[in-house]
Amino acid sequence: MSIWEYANPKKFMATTTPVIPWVSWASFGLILVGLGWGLFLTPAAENFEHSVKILFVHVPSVLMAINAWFMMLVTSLIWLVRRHHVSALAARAAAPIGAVMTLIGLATGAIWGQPTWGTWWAWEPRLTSFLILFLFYLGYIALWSAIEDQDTAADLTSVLCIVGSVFAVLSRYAAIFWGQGLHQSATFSADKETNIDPSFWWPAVLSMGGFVLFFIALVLIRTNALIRLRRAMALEARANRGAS
Amino acid sequence: MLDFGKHTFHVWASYGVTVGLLLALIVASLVQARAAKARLDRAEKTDG
Repeated sequence: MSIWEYANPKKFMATTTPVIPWVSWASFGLILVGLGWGLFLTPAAENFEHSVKILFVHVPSVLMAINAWFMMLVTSLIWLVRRHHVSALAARAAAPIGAVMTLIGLATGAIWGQPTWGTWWAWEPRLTSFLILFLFYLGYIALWSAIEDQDTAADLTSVLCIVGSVFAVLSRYAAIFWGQGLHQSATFSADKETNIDPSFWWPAVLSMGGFVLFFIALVLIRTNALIRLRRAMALEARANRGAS
Repeated sequence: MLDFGKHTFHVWASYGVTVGLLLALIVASLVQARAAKARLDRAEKTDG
């Protein structure tokens, strides 16, 4: 069996539809436990006091904002190379989710920055590249809506996605590339011994896992909706041709 | 409301923004899915 079988819209929908409720409930559970634990059961940190609780929503949203763009990059490349419509629709489905994650990251980052750095915003490399990534998300969504021919829209948005990937990479690694600015490099990593106090590690991991599953569930829901919409538009066009 | 000292506003604001935007995203996605299903049903009925 080949993975490309799932490029067939019917096969894709038949496979993903039964999975969606499980992924959705798992994501709700993980987010509820992760954020509840982070908000109510973690102690105040030595340096940041209670503002450290903001990281349990800020880090997962930024993680998904950047990785959603990388997922869109992969599916866009698949579209450009193999012309599978499902992959183009999956990229389109992911864009609004990534945009909302970026918005959450920007908002919670500003709320975190005010008590920690004494400012809501600074034009430093990581924050600026993340803001540009948000603008790329908006441009990507607008471009899909602006072009009537779906294949042309998929082509152009794929190119835009490749260009925007520069800012997705910069958002992730700007603090390392330039070694300056307010934003620190990675706060969390898989290695709990060296990076983070154990009392913060589990709620952080649970909420990050919840956000990942949340993203997957919504991408599947929205991709299935776009497949149905595309099919409906094709049938309507055929009916119109028959009537005229 | 739980008191987080001088960061009470910041903590609640960040969680409020996050939960609010996630809920809006869920509602928008479900509305889009329902509308697409209804439109396909109509188109298939017309198509016979």
